Amino acid sequence: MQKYEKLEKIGEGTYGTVFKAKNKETHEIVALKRVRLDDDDEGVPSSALREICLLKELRHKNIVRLFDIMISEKKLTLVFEYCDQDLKKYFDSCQGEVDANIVKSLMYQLLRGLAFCHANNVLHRDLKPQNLLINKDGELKLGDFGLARPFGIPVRCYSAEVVTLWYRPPDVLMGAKIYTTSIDMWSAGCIFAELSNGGRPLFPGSDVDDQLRKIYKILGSPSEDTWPGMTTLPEYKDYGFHSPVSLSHVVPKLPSVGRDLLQKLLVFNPSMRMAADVAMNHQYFNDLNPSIKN
Amino acid sequence: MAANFWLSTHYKYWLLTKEELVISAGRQEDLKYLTAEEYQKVHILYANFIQALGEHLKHRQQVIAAATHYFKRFYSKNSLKNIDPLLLAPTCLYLASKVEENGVISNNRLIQTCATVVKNKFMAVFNCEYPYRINQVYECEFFILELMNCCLILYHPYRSITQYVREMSEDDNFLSLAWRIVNDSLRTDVCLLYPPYQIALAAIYMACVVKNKDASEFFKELCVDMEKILEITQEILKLYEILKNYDDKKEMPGILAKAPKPKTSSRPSSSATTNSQYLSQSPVVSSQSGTPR
Repeated sequence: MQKYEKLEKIGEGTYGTVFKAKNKETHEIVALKRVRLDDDDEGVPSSALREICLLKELRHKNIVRLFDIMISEKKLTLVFEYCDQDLKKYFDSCQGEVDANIVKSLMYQLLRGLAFCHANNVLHRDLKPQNLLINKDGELKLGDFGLARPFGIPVRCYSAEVVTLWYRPPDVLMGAKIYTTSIDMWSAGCIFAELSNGGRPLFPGSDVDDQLRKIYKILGSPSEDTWPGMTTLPEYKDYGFHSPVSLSHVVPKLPSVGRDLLQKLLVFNPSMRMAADVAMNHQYFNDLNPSIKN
Repeated sequence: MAANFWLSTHYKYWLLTKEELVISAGRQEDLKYLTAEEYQKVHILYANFIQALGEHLKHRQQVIAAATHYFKRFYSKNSLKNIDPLLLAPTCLYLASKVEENGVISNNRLIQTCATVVKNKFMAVFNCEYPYRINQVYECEFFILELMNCCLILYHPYRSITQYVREMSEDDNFLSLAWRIVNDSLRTDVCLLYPPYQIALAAIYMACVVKNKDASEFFKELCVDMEKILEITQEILKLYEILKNYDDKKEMPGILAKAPKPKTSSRPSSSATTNSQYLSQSPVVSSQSGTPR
């Protein structure tokens, strides 16, 4: 622990406190995540173990880098690359307006990080603005892989922060247990709309019912025609008929080619949702600044 | 997570050479007390113990294989006297069940299972009730994490086996034979020495011999290094030779008595707390430093 000097508390993660710290030798700024160990519970939390071992295998510029793991008696500290803020804080700082080029750049980087995870058979399962880190160079990195496991809905909530439903796809809301990369693509769609609307969440539901209603009100209600098998989901409920709202009202600042991409991400039927690598080649990104593409 | 083996920590840090195994200080220490064959029998015993625990807990074979592999990693760098294998074995299974997404075993259940399995299947070998408690498992978990430098994702031969067998259009019977050979291979050092796809191919090669099938075309097309496959085959055949006369009740108590142990000669009693009395000295930690930048 002597190697690092704690500077300030940044926040509470899924399983422990996060500090900003400085490497005393190199003066490099890092984020330290202390893993909380409940003595009579489960040893090292499985969420922490999942995150540690996945991040040890995944190395990509759009995935937060795990530099080191410090193990001492009864203490486990993860040393991460430091990012200045998360997307949620970024939204707070830009007062309801994100530049269209930045929307495009951040969305592209989100998709590129996801495409890499998915190519490596890793699902993030808990994408939300708080888990997307942005550094001072405008680079976006996927963080908090603590819930990257098969039944991604957290079994328990360690922090006071309520785990949000807002980015959860309708199939998972209706109790689907077998999900694939499509789970992250729905979340990516929600975040895309939120980016374009300067940080206003697309589907801010208060509970599962309300969440599904909010989705139906905007996208229209799905049917067995558009989504075969929907009615057989364990928690399927009928919320009455809704017709879809034009996306030009939902994301007014997004050009039509961007709305087309959004439409292809926010698809009820998980098997029809666009994949991350395909989405990266969508024509919305044709005029992306080439320096971001490499 | 079955991405690219060649970029994995398994490939980068945890494929050892035979020389590395031989010169490992831990193993050299153990071989002062045990012959090479006796040493392997200790590993056979504990692989069987992990298998029995895993089956009792209804774990998938991948979880059991991961636990056995962790166990072997630990003692590839440490002597048996650094941590009592009777404690390390369930700890490895506990860790593997968390990593391999098998759901967490409740801590009562883990120790209860150890007690039951020791009582029902290994009483004659260990000659005592299961002596450890969950806090000691937690403590031990730290040592194994540290030793492996948290490289916990493993690649198993099972996936490759299923693929190859499908390509050869062999039946389930053949698959389960090859699969069992892979299970057996966990009682040798091959998982520390060879990439999983080579172990899978060696198991298929052996299954072909057993079933009298000519697979020379199949192996020719694969362009694999047959020398490696034969080396693995030799290791597994050596194991079968040992297993022919292996009777844990008869010989293991004697071998375990000779094996180096943590210094406090008596195992912690049931009233023991977590004061590390079962650790004689700090286990060796990983030589690789952190994540390379």
